Amino acid sequence: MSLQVFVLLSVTGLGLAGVYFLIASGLSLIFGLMDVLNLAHGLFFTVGSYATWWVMSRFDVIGSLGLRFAVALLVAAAMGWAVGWATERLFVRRFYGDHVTQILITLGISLAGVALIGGWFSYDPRTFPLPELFGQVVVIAGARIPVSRLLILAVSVVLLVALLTFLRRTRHGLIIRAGVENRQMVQAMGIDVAKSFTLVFALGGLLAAIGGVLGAVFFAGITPEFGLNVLIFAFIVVVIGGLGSVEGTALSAVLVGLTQQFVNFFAGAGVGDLTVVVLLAATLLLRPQGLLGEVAR
Amino acid sequence: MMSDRSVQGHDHHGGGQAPAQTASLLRVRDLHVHRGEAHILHGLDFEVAPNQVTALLGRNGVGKTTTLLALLGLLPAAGLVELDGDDLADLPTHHRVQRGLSYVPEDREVFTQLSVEENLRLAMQWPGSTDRLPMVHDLFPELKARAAQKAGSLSGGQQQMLALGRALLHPSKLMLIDEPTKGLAPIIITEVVAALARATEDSTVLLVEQNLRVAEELATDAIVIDEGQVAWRGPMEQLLGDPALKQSLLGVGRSRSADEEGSA
Repeated sequence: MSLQVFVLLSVTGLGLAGVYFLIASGLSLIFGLMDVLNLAHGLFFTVGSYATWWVMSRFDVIGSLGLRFAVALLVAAAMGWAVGWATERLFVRRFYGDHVTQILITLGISLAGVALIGGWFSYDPRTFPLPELFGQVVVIAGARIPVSRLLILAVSVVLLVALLTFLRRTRHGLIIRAGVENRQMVQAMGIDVAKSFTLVFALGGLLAAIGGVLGAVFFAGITPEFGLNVLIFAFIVVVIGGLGSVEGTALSAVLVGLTQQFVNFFAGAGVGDLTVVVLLAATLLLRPQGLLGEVAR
Repeated sequence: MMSDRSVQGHDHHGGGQAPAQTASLLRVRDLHVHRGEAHILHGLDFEVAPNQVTALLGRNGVGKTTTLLALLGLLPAAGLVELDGDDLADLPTHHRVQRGLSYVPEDREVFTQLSVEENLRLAMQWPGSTDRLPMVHDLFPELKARAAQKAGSLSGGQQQMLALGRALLHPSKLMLIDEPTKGLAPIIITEVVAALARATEDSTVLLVEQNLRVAEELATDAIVIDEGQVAWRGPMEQLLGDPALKQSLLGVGRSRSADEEGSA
């Protein structure tokens, strides 16, 4: 393998890892804190990607595409936050402890969301104009890397750092980390843990929506089922990383993203996806709590 | 009718005086808990007097921990729970704690992934917590020395100190402490008990403790649960001074009680 190919595949794999991380980190926190398997998380992602398409193709008033993209990121983040918040407040909140109902209700939200987006914007794949800069290439070790890949990587890393800082340096973050480990004890210390539930859902929605923005750039197009397809890999990333561990999710996203890219390139398209499933099986057999997960109590 | 039965019970055992009704800080009436099919507590009635340690005793599996969980609202229960005149029965756990309960759970339940300092910081949300931190560090200097260490890497005794320190940062009305010496080495038990004695000097505590020597050292009064009800209540001394009573209520055998008295 030439160095150029190696670098290109690595950067691409890491970009994919960034997209996976953004959708998987919220999923992992939601499951870790609330034991809720949030099947609506793919919808948060799709909301972000459609927000991007909407802003990029309709906001002609903003002449600069670069500026428009920045606005798209903000709009997607706000919409992801709002949809995540509403999902918890209006639906999931009523059914804590009732896992089957929660799975059914989040699946229902997900399917209804896809139908709504499909009905509104059609099921046809959508593309949209991107800033010219995104298409340019930089040469790293002889490999021609599209700027968009580096941008995806940079945004993901910034959000990883921001998320970890939030969890480690703020009181909300402290409560969330404690709650992931032992929710009942947090309540027994006089803390209203339900407030954190809403916050984590909103935060998860925001991160997934930004993932949707970056995913739309990465895959150069979107469909209403976009989020559902990525959600499958996000679940795999969460399980391999360890439920409730943001660091584990980041590590696992890198592992899954790189594996997928390299195997797809060398062994043929589709084999990489299969290999990821094998990775999942191996993790479940050898280290069921995930890379950085703790055995839940 | 339930309370009649428990009074009969204690009369039958030649019983002790029930603490005066008016002086109680916690009042529990007709507390029932079901766990699945099992009816664990069938109408518990008791009071906890202020500014002293009351031991909650009974054989293994009799429902002592269940009682504490029910008081905290961590288990569904029916009955009256009144703290300092405040009816807690319909409140969620965090509101009960805000009204003045603090809790040291049976298995310590420190947050193993958080540092010692973070565990304490999580508890520092009350007016007065900041003033209490030096007291906690004074009681348990290890918690200061190991502030940056992950709580999961502490020894059992250190975790117990952290669980106690965490509860002490809350200027609560009533501390519920569940088996603070469980699973600890004898030398650590001595240390923990000494710290507990100092920490709870002017506090009101409801203490679950299997180790009778520890209960004797800390508690003034005792409440004994048997078959889901209060079977006896009265001064700790009286319970321990009566081998027949101990045998019938706690199942403490003759030879072991002799051994305990020998070293007490």
